[in-house]
Amino acid sequence: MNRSRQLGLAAVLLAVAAPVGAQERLFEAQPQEDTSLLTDTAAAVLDGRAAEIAAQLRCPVCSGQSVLESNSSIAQEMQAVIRERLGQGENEEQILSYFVASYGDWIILKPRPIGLNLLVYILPAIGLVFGTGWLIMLFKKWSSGAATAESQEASSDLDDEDERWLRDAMRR
Amino acid sequence: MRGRARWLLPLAAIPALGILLFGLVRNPDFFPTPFIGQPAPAWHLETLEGDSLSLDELQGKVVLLNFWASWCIPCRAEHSVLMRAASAWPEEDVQVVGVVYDDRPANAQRFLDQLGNDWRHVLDPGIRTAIDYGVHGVPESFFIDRDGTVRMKYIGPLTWNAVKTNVDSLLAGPGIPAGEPDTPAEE
Repeated sequence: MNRSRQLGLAAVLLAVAAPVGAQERLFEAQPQEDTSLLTDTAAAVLDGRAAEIAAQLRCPVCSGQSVLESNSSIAQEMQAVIRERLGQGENEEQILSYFVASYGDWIILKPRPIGLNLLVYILPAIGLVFGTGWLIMLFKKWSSGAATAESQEASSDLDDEDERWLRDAMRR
Repeated sequence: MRGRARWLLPLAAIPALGILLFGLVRNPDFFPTPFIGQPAPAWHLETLEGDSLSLDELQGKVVLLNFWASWCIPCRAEHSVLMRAASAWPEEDVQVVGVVYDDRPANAQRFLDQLGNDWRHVLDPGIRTAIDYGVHGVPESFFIDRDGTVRMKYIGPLTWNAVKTNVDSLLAGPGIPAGEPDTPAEE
């Protein structure tokens, strides 16, 4: 690659990159916590914790996404709020309660195990227990009823009453 | 055994159907706000004109706090209702305040120049106040009583009926006005 081609390539790259940098935000970035005094690792830890919290919050305009995943401006600002509050020394619980105080429990993606929400946690377990019990009974019945399988098959077209009558009659 | 199980199954389906039905008839755009009956989050912000305004200054008045943006089409529709609200009651009783949500001040100003502007608007950099108030999108409005307590949250473009009913009942005295927003949010 000769020199003029390299220069040309650089010019093209610059032209492509320029509009991205020029894209203005609707608002000046809010003054965020001063991280200049923090070491890089401390800042990274702060960001990691912010991401952890953001992942638990529901984005207010795109209910299916978390605040961490969403690119909407409100989600971005909520991430900034989380970082600010972490920088002010608040812990995860305090920050989550702040968002719950303004948006309600709805804002937490994973329902808290209190009140009606408990159903979400308990119902599957109940369903599993009852379902298993039901299946076991069904299997037992099938295996014990194997001897009379033929007659049951024959009676399967009959309605309840006829079937009961037939069973009674056969028992006699 | 078999006869009993037959009854058990449809019986078990009733609560399940009940939950599904509840989900069906519920307005998915209605988000209950935890603020009803709670003190409105304080704010102290710059107005569109460059002055400053705080919620504390408005204590003693009924405040209709309206979050809006120039890019929001339903806000355009609701503007005439707000115009009417701003002139319907004496200023010392009722104050309409607009909060410009995620918008350029110049665009907000142009919107007001076009549609009229009889009340004050504050800028909300970083939409921090909107997040404080648990705003999902615009327009959203809060009815705040004379003591600074949020009495009602209205999602979506305001109707004159909703404004009049709520403001009148707040002017009449304490008590939580009945009703939830009858219009779905449009964003």
